[in-house]
Amino acid sequence: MFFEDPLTRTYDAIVVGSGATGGWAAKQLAEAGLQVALLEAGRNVSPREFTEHKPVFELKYRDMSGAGDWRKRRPVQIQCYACTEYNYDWFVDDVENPYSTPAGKPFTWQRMRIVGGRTLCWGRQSYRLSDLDFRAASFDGYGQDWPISYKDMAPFYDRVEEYVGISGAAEGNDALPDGHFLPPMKMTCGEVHFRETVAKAFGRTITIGRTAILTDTHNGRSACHYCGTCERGCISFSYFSSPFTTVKDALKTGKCTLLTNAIAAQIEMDPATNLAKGVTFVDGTTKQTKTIRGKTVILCAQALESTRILLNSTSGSHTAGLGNSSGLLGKGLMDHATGAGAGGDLPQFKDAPDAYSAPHRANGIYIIRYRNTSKATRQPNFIRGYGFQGGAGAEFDFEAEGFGAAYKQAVKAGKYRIEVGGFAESLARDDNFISIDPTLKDAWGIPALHISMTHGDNEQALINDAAATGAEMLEAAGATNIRISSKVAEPGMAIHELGTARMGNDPKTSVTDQYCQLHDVKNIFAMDGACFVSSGCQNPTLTMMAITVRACDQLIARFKKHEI
Amino acid sequence: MNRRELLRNSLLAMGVVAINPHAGARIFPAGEDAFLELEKPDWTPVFLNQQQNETLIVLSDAIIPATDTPGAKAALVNRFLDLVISAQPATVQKEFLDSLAWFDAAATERSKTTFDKLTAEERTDLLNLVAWPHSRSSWGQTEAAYPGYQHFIRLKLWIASAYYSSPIGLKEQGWDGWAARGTFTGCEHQPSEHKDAK
Repeated sequence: MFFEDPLTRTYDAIVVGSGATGGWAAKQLAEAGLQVALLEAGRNVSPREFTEHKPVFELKYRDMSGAGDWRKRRPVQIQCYACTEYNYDWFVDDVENPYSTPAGKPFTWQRMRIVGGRTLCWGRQSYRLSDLDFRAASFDGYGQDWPISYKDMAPFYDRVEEYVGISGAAEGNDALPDGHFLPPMKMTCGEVHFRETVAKAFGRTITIGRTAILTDTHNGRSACHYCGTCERGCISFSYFSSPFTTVKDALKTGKCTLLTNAIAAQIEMDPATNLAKGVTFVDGTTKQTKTIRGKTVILCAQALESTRILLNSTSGSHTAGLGNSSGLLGKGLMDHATGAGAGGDLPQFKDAPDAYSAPHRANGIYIIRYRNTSKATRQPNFIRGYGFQGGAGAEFDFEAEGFGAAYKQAVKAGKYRIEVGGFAESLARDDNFISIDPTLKDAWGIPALHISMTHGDNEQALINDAAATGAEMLEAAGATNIRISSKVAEPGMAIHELGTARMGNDPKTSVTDQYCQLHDVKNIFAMDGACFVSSGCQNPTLTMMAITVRACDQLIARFKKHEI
Repeated sequence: MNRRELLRNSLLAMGVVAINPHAGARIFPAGEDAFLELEKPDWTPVFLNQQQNETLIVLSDAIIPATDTPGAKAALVNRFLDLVISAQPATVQKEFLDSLAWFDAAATERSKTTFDKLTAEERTDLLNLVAWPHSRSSWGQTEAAYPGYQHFIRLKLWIASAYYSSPIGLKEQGWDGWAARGTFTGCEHQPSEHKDAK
């Protein structure tokens, strides 16, 4: 036996979760020379599992809805576009991983337990927040400002972008700060026309999606080969995914030990010092309960899972969970409001659809927020704003009318379509919360979450406005057959869960400080989306990673000063 | 660093983990292709009866016929749908069978035979009647949607999904036997060349 039992040591840091933030924490701390244990609830992943080039007919049911026994065990996960017959076992088994919601308040919690977590299937859109977001409360009086500003975050956005590789275009728009971009992906003709029309008619900015997909060789990874199905893995590692970047780097140091199938249950405390001394986890294979010891505990398990661990860690004076002296732990749950959209045809473009084997761009366009960005754009009916993701191009027209040779020809001729879908800010409200369900447990005996969230009037007003302005932009571009949607989707559908352990300077009104350290326990950190104060309307993963890097810098400095 | 540490660190660098390496990974074996099952000469339906299967073969090939490229029959649309419908909830199965039965009933009413035995002209006449939405009414009666359209659309959706996901259907969309690849070139026009696009 070559291996030392990983549970006999005391690590400098125990990182819980190996996804976007956990990978960064493990990499940064291990590269700084700290001994790191990286706990992952799921199994390891191998590139041999990637299926991005496997044609659909080779699957038994060709991923058609309704077919396949795996769906019966994943009624929640199949609501995610990325959970398919190709890759469903990357997603959790809902029967083994239950949670409860109040009657009439559904919440869809889409999650993955595997090394890399949701970075294997994420949408890859990567946008910076701005001071419109960090200082939103000062702007409109709702909620709290973040304890950090864009100036504090900018250097860490730089570092993350330079490592990850974000392709995109600088636009000089204050609502969406520019970053360090690899060359942008190209727009289609319809998108170029849309961008020019909307800029002229409304003064709004449409840019190519800023995405964590390489357009050039970068940090030892190859440029995208445009097969277009990133959610099934990438043999050239061209999109950012933690197992093959940050986690790999952490393991290379020899300072990081990865423990898979280690389902974190609670943090163990030393009552004499009021410091964490380790993490108790369940071995997912044997169902044995084990404890790993560490000088610090860094939660990167995903916002709701990290807070679940804190809520389940009741001991001594921490009767309501760790970090909950303010009573705010679990409160302020957010997820971007979706459901607003507009779509139509652009009949002035006659291009035929791209052939199946032709390059496919797994990216779209992004319309930068234009509501409540200044006094001139303040809205009477709602606060905050929304951005759009979308695209335009020729598609095979499978819905063509008729039958016979004419139908086949119509399918092949295709239609030139344009669509935009809004992502609106979700306000932090204390009545949107998670707590521990008093009776429900998961398959490993760990108390499960009760999730209570609704989108409110402000989100509905944002969605209504997004649908209307989306349609007006399409109309200006000459779109026909415009259809709009303004039904707010069920919370969770954005897969941007944020909040529940928000950061702040005042321990009475926040759970962590600006470096993600619990106010109540000096060696526990919540370095994922849990610490978000507000949601902005931008896809949050880039900001989560930058927050982690900033917090780890501070933690390393404290280790060097022997404060830990 | 001693030999043990060197080996351990090398293993860790390769992604080897302390507990349960790759346990439970689901890996498609090279060459695994579910379509091969459908091509077996001794294939028999698992869900449809013989009449339903014959009706589906003829209907699918009427909706997506062989032209300069193969049609639904060659793409084994019926065989795949037999499999995929067998795995659907009972309500979806009933709807599918009801729609197939409607075509046989309509053919019987019009031509005294099942759909699969209609002449090409009779099939086209019937499909022309149901392929577009319309209503029917008689003097003194309330207008009602013609039910055949719903049955046609339901089955057409299944047939098109099965056809365009088959090897033949993918070729129809420009599949050359390999995955999509290359560099996405996008719009190659000069700036403002789209000013007349509205």
